[in-house]
Amino acid sequence: MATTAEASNTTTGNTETATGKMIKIQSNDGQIFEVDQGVVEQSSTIKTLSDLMDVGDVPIPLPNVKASILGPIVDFCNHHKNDQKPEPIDEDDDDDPNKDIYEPKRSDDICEWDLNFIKQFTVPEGTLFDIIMAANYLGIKTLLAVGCKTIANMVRGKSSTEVREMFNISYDPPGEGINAPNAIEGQAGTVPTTQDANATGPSPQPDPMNQ
Amino acid sequence: MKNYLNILDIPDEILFLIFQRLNAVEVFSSLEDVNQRFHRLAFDPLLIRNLNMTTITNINSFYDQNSLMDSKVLSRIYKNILPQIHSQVHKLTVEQDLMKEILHAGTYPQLYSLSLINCEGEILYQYLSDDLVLRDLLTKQITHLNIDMKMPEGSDSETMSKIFQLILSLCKNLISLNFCDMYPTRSCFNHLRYLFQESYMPSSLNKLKINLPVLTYYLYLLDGPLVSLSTLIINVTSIFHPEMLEPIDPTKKLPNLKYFSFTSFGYTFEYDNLIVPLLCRMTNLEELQLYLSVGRFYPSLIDGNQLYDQFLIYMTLLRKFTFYIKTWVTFDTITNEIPTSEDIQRTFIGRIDEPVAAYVYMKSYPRPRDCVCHVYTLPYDFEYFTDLNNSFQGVSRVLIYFLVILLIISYYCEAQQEIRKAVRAKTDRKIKEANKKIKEANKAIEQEKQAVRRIKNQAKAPFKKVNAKVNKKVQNANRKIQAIEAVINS
Repeated sequence: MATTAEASNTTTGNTETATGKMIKIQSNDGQIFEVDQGVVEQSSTIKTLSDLMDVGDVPIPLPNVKASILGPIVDFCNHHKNDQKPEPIDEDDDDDPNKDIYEPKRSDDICEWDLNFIKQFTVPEGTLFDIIMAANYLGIKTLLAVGCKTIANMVRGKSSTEVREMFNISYDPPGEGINAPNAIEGQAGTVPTTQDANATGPSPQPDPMNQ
Repeated sequence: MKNYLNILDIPDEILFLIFQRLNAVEVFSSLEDVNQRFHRLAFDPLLIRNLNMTTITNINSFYDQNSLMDSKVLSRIYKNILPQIHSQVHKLTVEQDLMKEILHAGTYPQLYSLSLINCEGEILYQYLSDDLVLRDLLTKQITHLNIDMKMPEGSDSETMSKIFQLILSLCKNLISLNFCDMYPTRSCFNHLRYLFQESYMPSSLNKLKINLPVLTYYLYLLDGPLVSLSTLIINVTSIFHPEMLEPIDPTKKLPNLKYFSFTSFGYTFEYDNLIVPLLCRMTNLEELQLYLSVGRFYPSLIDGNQLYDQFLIYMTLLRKFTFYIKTWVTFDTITNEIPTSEDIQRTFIGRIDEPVAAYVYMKSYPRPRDCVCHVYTLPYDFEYFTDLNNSFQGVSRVLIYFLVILLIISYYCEAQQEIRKAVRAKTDRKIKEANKKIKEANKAIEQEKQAVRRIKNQAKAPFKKVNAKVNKKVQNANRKIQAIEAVINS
């Protein structure tokens, strides 16, 4: 509860705290949040913007995030600002032959606070995706990871049909999928390319719900 | 109407992050067939490159290791998916139980790293001896091999020796081998005592991570097949077996070894006879890690001067040296020359770059004249603590409490999880039962109502009859009255 109170305080205009300089950020619907350096440090986007602009008292506009999402994000960052910084993990060292000490990837290890935090965002209302998109836009890796883990955990153990139902995804026309009778012979031996599949083939079906 | 975001509004890069959180079997069973976009992402070369085909949900758990994967789903993956992707797989992780199906589903021309999980000694040995596909892969391609054994299988010395031997002889290109030390909770100490009886061809093995019960078995290998090792990580429970020991020749160098990590859990009295000469052979070492508990019968504690004079002086290329060394000295004569912690700490100045902490004390139990000395580099670099108490510098009381609590919590959490699962199952069952009862009750009420309705109807029937009769009579009477009135009127 302390973090929530702290976060709501930030909007009321307390300026200096122990952590030093406060920075104002503005959501796309005009609400201004005041955050300290501990929060700024976690978001590469806000950090870069504040370094670049040296804004002073002018709020940094964040045109891709609305207040209903930015508020909880500020809470999240306030809660995690004293966390020990994780050691930088090279994600492309997959092929380093010297690095093969086996460490299984665990994705269900979300701490309890984060679990409760992410529970307020849902799939039907799309807020879970809002928070993921915002975390990505703001460059908050820990929050992005929590969002991705949450979805991975939702998917785990489900069938494709259940996944489609869960996320309200319409199925592509039959005959196109991997399990279509002709697909196996047709695709065997070919390498599906990542970049061009979209350009040449039919574009992925946007969900009618979003139109 | 509100415009809610859907998962399909998320860009590919983020969807890909979600895919990366799942292992291959999960991606292929849950996501691959969702739609074309998911299908394309599931087949992304980056994802396929390092293919984790394990189905065990939580390998580090002591309780929960059940595979929940449906065999139909698995066979679809073997038949439809693996044949399409096998040529792009560079690293593959499989369980013993599914190994055959997965390895036989393609030729895996680019595979160089193979991890075999949850193996049983006898069965793995059978595979290694008989399965031509596996043998072919190991002989021609595999440079990195990781083996993980099921815990109870750790004791069969002969089979384990045979497996180790077979791997060394079979894998001509092997660079790195992790033998039973893949997961912290599953590292078993396999007896490989039959190893030294065999003569080997030198192997190209570069890196070895292994757990052994006794170091001396292993020393024979260093000169023979494992001469080209550059990284050696070895954990032993004890060091010495006198009948197997030939004196170590410190002049016979091990020039290729660059990284040596040695952890011995048991006490050794062979530090000076065995460990020091062995370290003296490693002249080109760049990084050294030691975790030792040394016993001595003469009043000499291992300090910076000793380490330097005994082997560090020969290791001219050494960049990093981390250690925890405990000396336990048993005095037979009373001596007043026991150095203080500060004295010991001072001996490291100028000898070792890393800060060193020292702690010396006399034991009051079981022998009052015993002296114990801990020396270790800071920050403390090991997963283990012995004789942990709050005299340790760099290991605060809070940390100790924290570690203990952490340990308790980790067990507790898992137990809790089990309890929660059980409770949830029970609750679900009770809810179901309650629902069933409610349904039954509703049904009974419905039946009662029907019965009441029927009885009412039955009860009403005579009234109706009587009413009908009365009505008829009234009508007749009326008619008669009308007839009479008509007569009167006329």
